Amino acid sequence: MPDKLTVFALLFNLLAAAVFQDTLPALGGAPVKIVLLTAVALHASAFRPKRYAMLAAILAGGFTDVLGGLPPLCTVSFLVMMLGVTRLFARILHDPHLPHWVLFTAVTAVLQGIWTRLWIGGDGATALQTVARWCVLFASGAIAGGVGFSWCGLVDRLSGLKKPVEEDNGIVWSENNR
Amino acid sequence: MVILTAALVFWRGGTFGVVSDAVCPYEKARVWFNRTVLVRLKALAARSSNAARCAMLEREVERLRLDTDRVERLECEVERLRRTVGVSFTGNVRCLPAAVLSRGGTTALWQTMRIGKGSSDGIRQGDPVVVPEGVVGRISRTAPHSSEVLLLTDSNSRIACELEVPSEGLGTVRGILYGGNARLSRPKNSEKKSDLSLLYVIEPLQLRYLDREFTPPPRTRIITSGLGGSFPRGLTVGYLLDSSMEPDGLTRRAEAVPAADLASLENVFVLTAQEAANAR
Repeated sequence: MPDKLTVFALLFNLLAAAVFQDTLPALGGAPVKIVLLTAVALHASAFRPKRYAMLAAILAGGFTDVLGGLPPLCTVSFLVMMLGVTRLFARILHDPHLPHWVLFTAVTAVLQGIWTRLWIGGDGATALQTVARWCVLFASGAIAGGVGFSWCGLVDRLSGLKKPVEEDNGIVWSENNR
Repeated sequence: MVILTAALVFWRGGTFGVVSDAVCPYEKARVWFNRTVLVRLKALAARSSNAARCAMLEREVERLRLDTDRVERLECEVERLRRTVGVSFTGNVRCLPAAVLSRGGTTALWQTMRIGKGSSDGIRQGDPVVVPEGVVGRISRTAPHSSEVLLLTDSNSRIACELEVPSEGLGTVRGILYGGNARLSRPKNSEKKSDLSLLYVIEPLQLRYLDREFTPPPRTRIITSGLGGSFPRGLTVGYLLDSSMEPDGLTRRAEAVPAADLASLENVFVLTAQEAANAR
C-alpha cells in the first residue's frame, strides 16, 4: 500500500469530515452533531495499518476537541481506546459489511456521548432527557457510519488504495470471464 | 517535522488557531458557494423551467420578477444597515461585519458560532458581537482569520444589564443576565418545566439580582448597563417575560428572551476597539 497516498487520503477524509461536521446544523435541535470525524477514525482503525489508524484517531479526536470546545484529549483518548475495539470487532466478524459498520458507529457515537459527558460533567438532565439524547446520538452515529464508511470506501477505490476482490484461486473474475 | 508543527502552533496562537484556520477557508468557500453560485443555479433552473413552458414575454416577466426580488432584497439590506448605523455606541468603537461560518462547532454542546474574521482583523477576546436587533454574544476565542462567539444563550454567558424602566423616579434597576440552561436553583413554581423539555429546549435567559421592591412589567426592554466593561451601555439584549422572587427572598429574578433571532443569523457585527482598528 503506497504510504504517501494513504496519508493523503486520510488527511483528505479527515479535513472533509471536519468541515462538514462543523458546518452541519445540530441534529433535530438536539445538542448532537453527526459524528463524521469519528466514522473516519473508525474506518481507518478497521482498514489501515496500526500507525495510520493511530494517526487518524489522534487527528480526528483533535479536530473534534478543538473545534467543539472540548477539553484537550477528551475525544482523542476515546478514539484511541476505540482503535483496539474496532480492530477486535473487524477480526471477530472476519469481513464486516456496511450495515455492521453502521451499527458499530451508532453504538460508538452513544459511547462517545457518554464519555464526553463524563469529561465535561453533567448538565442536570432528567433520565428521560438522557435516554432521548442517547437515541439521537444513536441515529447520528448510524447516519455518520453510513455516510463516513461509504465516503472513505469511495475515496479508497478512486485513489487505488482498495483493489478489486479476487476469487479464491487468485484470478480476478473479470479475467476469468473472458 | 515536530519542530515545524510546534512553530506553526506557536505562530498561529495555539491549536485552535491552527485547526480553525485550516477549516476556515473551506467554510468560507461553502458560504461563498451558497450565496453566489447556488443562488444563481437555482435562479437558472427556475428560468429554464419557465422557458420550456413560455415564450419570450413570460421570460421577460420572470426577469422582471427577479429584478424586483433583487430590489426588495437590497431595500431590506439598506434598511438593516440604516438601523445598524443608527445604533449609538459610546467610546471609540468600530463596527466590523463578519459572516457566520458555522454554529455549535463539531459537537454542538455549547451555544457558540464561528465567524469569518479573526485577530488579524483587530478582533480580541471579549469583544461584543451584535446585530441590529440586539446583542448576540461575545468573542470567546480568536484565530488569525476566524473567531468563536459565545452566544448569550449559553449557560456560561453573563452580561451586566439594566431595565429600561418606563416611568420616571424609579432609578436604575440593574441585574446580571445569565444564559439559558444555566444550572441555577429554581424557584418552586418553575420546577416542573424541565420535565416538559424532552431533548433540547432553549430555556429563557435569567435576569437575576433585581431590586426586590420593583415588579417589572412584561415586555420591558433589557439593555446593557456598561458595568461589565466589555459591552457598551445601551445595547438591546432582550425583553422581559415574567419575574418572581428568588428562593431566599432577597432579590428578584426574571425570565427574558433574546432580542436577536440567534437561529437565523447570517452576518453579525463585532464591536472592536478603535485603536486596534487603527493599528491594523
